[in-house]
Amino acid sequence: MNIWPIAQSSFKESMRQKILYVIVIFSFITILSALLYKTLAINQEVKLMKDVGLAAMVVLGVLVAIFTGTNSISREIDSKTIHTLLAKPVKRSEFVLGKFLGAGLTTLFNLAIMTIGFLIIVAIVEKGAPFYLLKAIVLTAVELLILVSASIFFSTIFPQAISTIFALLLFLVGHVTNLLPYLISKAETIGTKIIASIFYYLLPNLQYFNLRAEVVNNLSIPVSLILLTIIYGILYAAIGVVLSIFVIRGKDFA
Amino acid sequence: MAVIIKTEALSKVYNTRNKNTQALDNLTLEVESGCIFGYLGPNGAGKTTTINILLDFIKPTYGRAWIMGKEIGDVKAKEKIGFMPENPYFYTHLTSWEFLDFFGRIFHLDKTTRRNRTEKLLEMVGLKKEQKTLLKNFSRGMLQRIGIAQALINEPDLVFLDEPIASLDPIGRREIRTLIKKIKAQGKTVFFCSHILSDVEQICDEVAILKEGRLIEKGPLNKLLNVKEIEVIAQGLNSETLEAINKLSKKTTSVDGNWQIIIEKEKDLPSTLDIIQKGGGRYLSVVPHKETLEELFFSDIEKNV
Repeated sequence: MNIWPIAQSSFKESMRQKILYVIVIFSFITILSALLYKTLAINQEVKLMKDVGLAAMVVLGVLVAIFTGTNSISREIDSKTIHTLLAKPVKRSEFVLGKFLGAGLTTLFNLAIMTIGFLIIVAIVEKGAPFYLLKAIVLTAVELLILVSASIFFSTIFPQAISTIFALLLFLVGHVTNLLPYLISKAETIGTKIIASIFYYLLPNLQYFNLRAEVVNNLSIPVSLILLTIIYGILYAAIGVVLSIFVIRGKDFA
Repeated sequence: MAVIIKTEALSKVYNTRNKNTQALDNLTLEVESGCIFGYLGPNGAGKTTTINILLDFIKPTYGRAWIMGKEIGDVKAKEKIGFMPENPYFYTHLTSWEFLDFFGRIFHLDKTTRRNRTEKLLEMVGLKKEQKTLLKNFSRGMLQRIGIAQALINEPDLVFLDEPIASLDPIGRREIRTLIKKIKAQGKTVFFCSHILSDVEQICDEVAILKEGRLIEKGPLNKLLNVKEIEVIAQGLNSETLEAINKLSKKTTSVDGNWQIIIEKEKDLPSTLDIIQKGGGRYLSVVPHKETLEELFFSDIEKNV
């Protein structure tokens, strides 16, 4: 199996791009800036810092996931480096899996760096280990994997710019699918009903991965709920990868 | 010799914006193992399309092809294939060492073998000193060299080289030609796509010429290149002998006290030599001049307009 060497090369390529370091540095600045909100929310500054920090990690994680996801395969196709690779004993499915793994690792590595920095800052402020925050971060990680998978899928069909737009739209629509049943019931035309229904049943409900408010307020969250959400996310990520393999298998690389 | 590449009515039609373009038209071809096979044709003739199909980058519209007896796309066959693309776009984020090591891993070579082969290949293509240089800092010529090195990392039986010397200076071109001959000497087959006819003529055993997707000429180079004239150098010719020779020759010139006689038709050679001897003269040399590959190429292309 050639998945691992391809994933490693893909990871190395992403890590040598300076843009990712800029994103990580920016995330730290955002998290630290939350400490300045004391004047805005008296006695709530720590909670506010955690809210802002977790939200910043999601936003910046999404940028990394979409950038590395859309970049990994479209770059190979555009630059024709895929020719050199596919001339070797590499199955197209191995290529897609390797690219997914590489982009996924890059995204998770960046999230891990942000997590370590964030937890250290919170630990200093709270004077205790804030491991309870990991519940929210783990779900963010799974959500990012869905976005990596979707970005890769879009990039097997469309150019990178369009893939990026679709992936961003998926992220935005995925967080409002809860509202779609209401939209379906109120829709005046059959066309709107059908489109809203397709979105509701096909797209992942990314709001399931948002337990940040519960975690920050230290509310009890059943482990089973977290596990089910992880399985739900992995299934969606797998669907994206399988669809990408399907597209790449039938594609000509002239 | 065993057949290493075989195609049967291989065809490719591209459909772009409701317009069909026949890139390859019923290509039936056999390449024997152990030779350097020159694949020629003007731009858009279908050379790269052929390679793209043989290496399974694109699917043929119809027709079939086999490499080492296995249907194209067979992963096992690819273990014994090397390929250097026309445009050497590689992973620019890797150093030349990392690049070769990466492909070594793709072929599941162990660490020691990878290290040894990487060292040997970098030495062979003259990039030993640049082993820690990122490929993004390489010149086009250096990229072509590293491209050849990666094509040989698995010690393949069949190597596809698509315009491997297009961007090299004369010294680099000679080095790569020598390298290609070395690959052949190891019993490997080289499928050599090039626009540079003089290079093809110098190193290829067999050539195929393609035009507008169709195969218009194929065969061993020494059989394809016809004798276009024969040069006879003679001395001691009197005016009567010269008059008789002039009737058969294309041109007779006096050069440094000798006579240079140019004969166009091979069948006239025995008569000419006979006239020289009977006239009391003697011939010093007989040199057949074959047409060049360039002449054959243009004559074939013009014939098929």
